[in-house]
Amino acid sequence: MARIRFENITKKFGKTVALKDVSFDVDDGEFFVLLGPSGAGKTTTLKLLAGLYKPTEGNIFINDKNVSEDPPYNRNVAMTFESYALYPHLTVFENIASPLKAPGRNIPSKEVKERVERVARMLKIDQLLDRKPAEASGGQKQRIALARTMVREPDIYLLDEPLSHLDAKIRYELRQEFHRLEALKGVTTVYVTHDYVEALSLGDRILMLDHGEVQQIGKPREIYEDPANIRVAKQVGQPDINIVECVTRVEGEKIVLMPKNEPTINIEISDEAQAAFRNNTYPEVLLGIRPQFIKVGEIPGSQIFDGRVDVYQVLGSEGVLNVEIGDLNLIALTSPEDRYTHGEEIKVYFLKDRFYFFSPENGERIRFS
Amino acid sequence: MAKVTLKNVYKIYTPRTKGGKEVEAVRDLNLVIEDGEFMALLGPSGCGKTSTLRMIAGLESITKGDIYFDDVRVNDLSSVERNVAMAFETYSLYPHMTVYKNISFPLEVRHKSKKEIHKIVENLAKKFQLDDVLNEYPARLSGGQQQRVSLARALAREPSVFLLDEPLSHSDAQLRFQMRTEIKRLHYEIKSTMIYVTHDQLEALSLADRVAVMNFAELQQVGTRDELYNNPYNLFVADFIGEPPMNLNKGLVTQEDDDLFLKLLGSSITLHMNAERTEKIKRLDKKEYIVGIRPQDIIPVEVPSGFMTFDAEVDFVEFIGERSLLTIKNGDLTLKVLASPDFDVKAGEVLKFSYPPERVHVFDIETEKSILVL
Amino acid sequence: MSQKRFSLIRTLGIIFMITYIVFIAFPIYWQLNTSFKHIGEVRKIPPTFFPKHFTLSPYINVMNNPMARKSIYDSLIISITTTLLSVLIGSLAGYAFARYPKYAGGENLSFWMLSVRMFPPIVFILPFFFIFNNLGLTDTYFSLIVMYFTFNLPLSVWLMMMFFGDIPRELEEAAYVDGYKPFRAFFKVTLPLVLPGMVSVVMLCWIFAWNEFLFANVLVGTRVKTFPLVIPTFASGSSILWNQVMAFTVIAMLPPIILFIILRRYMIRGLSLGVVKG
Repeated sequence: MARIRFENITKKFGKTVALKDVSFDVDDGEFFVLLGPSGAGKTTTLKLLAGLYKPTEGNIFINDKNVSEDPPYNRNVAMTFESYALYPHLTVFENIASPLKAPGRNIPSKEVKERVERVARMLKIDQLLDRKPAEASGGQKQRIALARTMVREPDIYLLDEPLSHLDAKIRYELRQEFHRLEALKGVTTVYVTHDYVEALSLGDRILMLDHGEVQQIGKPREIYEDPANIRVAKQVGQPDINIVECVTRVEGEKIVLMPKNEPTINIEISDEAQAAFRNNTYPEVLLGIRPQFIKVGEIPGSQIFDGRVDVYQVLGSEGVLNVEIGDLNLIALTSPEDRYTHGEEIKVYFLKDRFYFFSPENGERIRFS
Repeated sequence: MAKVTLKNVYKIYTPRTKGGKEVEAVRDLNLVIEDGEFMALLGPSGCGKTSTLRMIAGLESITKGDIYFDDVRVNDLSSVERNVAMAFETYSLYPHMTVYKNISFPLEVRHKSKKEIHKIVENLAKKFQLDDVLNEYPARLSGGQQQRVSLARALAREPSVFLLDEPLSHSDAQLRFQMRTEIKRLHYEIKSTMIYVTHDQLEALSLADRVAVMNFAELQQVGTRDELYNNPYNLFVADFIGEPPMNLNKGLVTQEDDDLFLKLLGSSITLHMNAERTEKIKRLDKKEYIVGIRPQDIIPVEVPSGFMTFDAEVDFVEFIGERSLLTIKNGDLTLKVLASPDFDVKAGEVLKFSYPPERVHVFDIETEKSILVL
Repeated sequence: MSQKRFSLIRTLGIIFMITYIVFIAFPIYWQLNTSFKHIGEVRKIPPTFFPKHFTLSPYINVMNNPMARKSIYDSLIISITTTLLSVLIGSLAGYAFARYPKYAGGENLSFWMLSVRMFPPIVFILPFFFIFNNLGLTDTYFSLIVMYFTFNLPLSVWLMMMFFGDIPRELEEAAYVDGYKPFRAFFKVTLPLVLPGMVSVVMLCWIFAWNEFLFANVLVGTRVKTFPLVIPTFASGSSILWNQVMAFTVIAMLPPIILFIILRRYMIRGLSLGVVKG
């Protein structure tokens, strides 16, 4: 049971600034995800929470108690490491039991055994208890590391990229397990990942971190559907969001967007957006279109473009189409039943209500209210 | 360019020490890769896909059987004589040579004239968008650029067969996505015979014209994406292909009047099949089967024509951006369902789910084969 | 075809190995052979390849020689102390260099330490002799221990630094989060993992101190005498008591061999652990 408060944390390693003025709150029992590309400062944040690093500036509170200077062994937090950090010279049992045997815990060895066996059964590694970690597969190592974390009853779970080194299939299975594990429910959990699917799927809330700075904090849908800036929009979603550099232009009555590298076309935008661009506040914008909002075909009332199929790939539950409109190469998502051949001429339209606009200077979202 | 034919090919590794066991890496493999075709060899690690590739490349001897390039038996020819090009898992660029040198190196070894080399390199550089970095050293390039250099180098000598060994497995998800598109585009352009080894089913399905699925040294099935998806020969293929994976459960044959269907164990869900499978079940006359249905073939609304329905409760909903993944339950059974992210549903709601009966897959429990091939 | 070539290489390899083994093993065999002979049989030409009259008298003579007995004792004291000191200080310094390179003086300091090992030892002899002589410390255990320690420490520090550096820091961090304080974490996680490396450092330090002749010859020799200094004393007048020399060297070989047998277990266990992550 714990609430976390990060207050204006800055962390420097020598001259490198790993975190810059980061503040956030985590509620009691919340599943909080730190999402960001590598080098964003996610692991640093986690290690600050664990007490492995001390903040250069700012304070960390756990349950309103300032713990900024407390060493890890005095905080009741449990952590898994990206490298698993299993003790290679100890058996799986000893590895899992390690936090229970730490000095000052004084748990009778019978209870240690019971608790280790219970958590091992839960994570389906009970048959491995007598082996050494080196004999376990990647997925099993990950489970052992999780078991070592979950065998305690900590105030906070800290999980660092627990799924990143696994095959797609095992990753999917373990992700499902995270949804089911009762032990994780009700305990405040901070989960680090670079994979937006994990973040969206697991998080109650997500903090998007990049270059050591908070980009956005919000519920999964907010992060995906209402990104604060271009970095967030690019980090969540696959295939990547299409970004088109455009110039705003008056075309008769309308305001339209002219792509910089394909000036022969004008992209029509919603009335709201037109109103916002009318007084020339933004001579240039970055237009963001998610692949699923580019459609093949024609519907009345929408602007139709002539496209040529560049590359088409059918995946499991969707098709990915690279379509060329003049010199613009855009990615569209289609139904997996569709078939296109290289060079085929097709008609394309956009869902202009789902456009995002970003400022070319700082990548911030341009909103109109 | 060449058509590659594998006839009853075996690869057996003899033990290094006395008393060690022989390891059969490839067993009785028959496969024809047409001229200009893009074929993927797909399977988990240790399935024999890399051994197969290495035998085609001439890096590994063939224990038994024959490999033909067009009509020429190549068993005893070296890699150079076979004129194959191979791009490796690690890019293996020469770090002390510029990009230009890296690409031209295989040509210099073959004693081409300076002028000729220059023309080929310029051409490739344009094709791979490397014109700006020709004088850079590999260390200064991004991962994607390095990958392109390694592909360009492999292509520089116009190979008859182009082999790729897990070329993307070291890249991160975003780069992998871009590179996949590049490789696909490359195949449109050079139209050479390409054989691509991977353990990633998405890569195989999205890139290749046909995919050969291997497991335990044996070929499981060869087919296009649609064939593998809609008509898997056995449980392994059904389970290995598809993300999220196919829902697989035991089903009990139940008959009511003329109506024959499978009742999923632990639940009240009954699944109907198309006529072909229903007939087959009647003929095979067994009590239990494994029933499979893909998450994207279950639709969380009632569809009027041609679909059957069942009821289930929504256990939890995962919003994952481009789609939502529902976990639904009925009794002790849980199923996965893919839905549109705009589909508004909350945990605990009971809904009607529809499915097309022809997309219900049925497998024999003992042989694990699809009943259609029994 | 390739099968044939393979077996030819194999045969050549085996011939080479046999030659090599004979080359290495023959002196030891000859040493044992000689040590069980009477002095008369030793001098016989042609030599006998197995003692005709097997005798333990060379061993008994050596053991009854007080100078020889004491030299083994002196050597043991000096080698054990030097080894323990070098490994202990070397581990602490190596850990500091590996984990806190910025605070421990950085790469320059650790490299500078190693450079001591690069000078020919003979360069140091005269300065050291004068220092110890002026301090009245020649002919003491202390002088030799300091000398050997000076030469062993750089190697020990350097090797231990590499071994500690190979152990992912996250293993220790995991122990801290598990609830162990740094010192306990060191003993629970770091030390067991570095043990195989430490054992090899023990062996290297020991071998240097045990066999050393040059420094011992200059710095000690009367009250303190290590065994290498005693070997020449078996030459009496015009003749050399080869059988006693051999018996003595056999005895002197025992401590390192015993040590190796004891420590071998740890070295092999270390190889099979696979400390690397992943």
